[in-house]
Amino acid sequence: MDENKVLVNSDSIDLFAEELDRVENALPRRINADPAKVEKGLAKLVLTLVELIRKLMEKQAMRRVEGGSLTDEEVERIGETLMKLENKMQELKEVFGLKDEELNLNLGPLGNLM
Amino acid sequence: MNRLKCIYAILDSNRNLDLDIKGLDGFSVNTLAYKDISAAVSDIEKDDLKVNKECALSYGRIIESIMERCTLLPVRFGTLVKSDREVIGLLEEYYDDFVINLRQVKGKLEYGLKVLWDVEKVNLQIMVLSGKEDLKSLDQLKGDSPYKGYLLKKLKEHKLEEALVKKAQEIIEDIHKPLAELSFLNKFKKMTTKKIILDAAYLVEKEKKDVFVQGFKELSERRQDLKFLLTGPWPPYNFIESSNFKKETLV
Repeated sequence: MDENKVLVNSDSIDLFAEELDRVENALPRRINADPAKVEKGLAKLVLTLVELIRKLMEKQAMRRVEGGSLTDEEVERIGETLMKLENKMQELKEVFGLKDEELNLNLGPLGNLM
Repeated sequence: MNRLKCIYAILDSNRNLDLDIKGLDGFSVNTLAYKDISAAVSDIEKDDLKVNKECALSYGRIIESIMERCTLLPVRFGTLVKSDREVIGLLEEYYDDFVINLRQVKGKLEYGLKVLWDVEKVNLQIMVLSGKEDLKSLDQLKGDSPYKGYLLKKLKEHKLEEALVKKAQEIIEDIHKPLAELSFLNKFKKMTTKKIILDAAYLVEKEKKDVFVQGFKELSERRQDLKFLLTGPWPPYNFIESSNFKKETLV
């Protein structure tokens, strides 16, 4: 960026550049169709959707737990389900070499999926 | 024939402006008119348009040079067509959309703003505060069960996230609202990354640009807890709207 375009900068411009690089790298607008990487691209897409559903389930569960209307047994069961689900997701991310911040989708004008 | 036409911008004038600007390939930028609008174009050898940083920056600078002479709509980087006739064809096809957008951005400039916050510090502050707060459902999650322990941990994380989002919302309101009032139009995204709390673009009337920048400076001095990057003036990259353009990926 041209220096004369910067009107006010309260810190090193590198700090902002680093953050923007993070967005660019994490949220490609297209799936990588390179044959060698297509498996990872597809896994990324599928795991992003699974992660979205998992997070929604987690939110819903938190609401119910907070509401205090669950029995002891139900609390145990929800805890076990969520824990196993998160562990499984962790395993799958490791298998495909994906980081948390990579599991997102850029929906253009709508912003990011999560 | 490998020579094509590179389109840089759509202008709100049909006069043959003496732009005296060189295009990407060193050929002069000239205008091609249709009714009361025109397109700024230059010749380019087919293989000379490289998709890299230098080329993109040059493209941007060419548009900015033209912007000093008249109101324009910047055209997407790498928009190439075969001939003058095709350029005129595009002007004719999208004439109504171009005119509506040119009217909207006439006499206005775009400014970009990115705001970073110290998310770790805010997290810590919230954690200290929430440590004093009792969770209503805590009793039900007490005990030796690992699953209950897991739920308790998750519940605390959710509370923290909720508090963080609320805090972010307050900050965004504090920064964005006064700037939105000083601008004609605005667009913004919240929490683009964990650190970028606000990523905004403001379309500002030329005669109000000093008031806008001054207003922003006062704001940034008041909020020493945040880091700001205000840039501009830019061509109105973020304020061109038409479903037709998206289909054709033109602007």
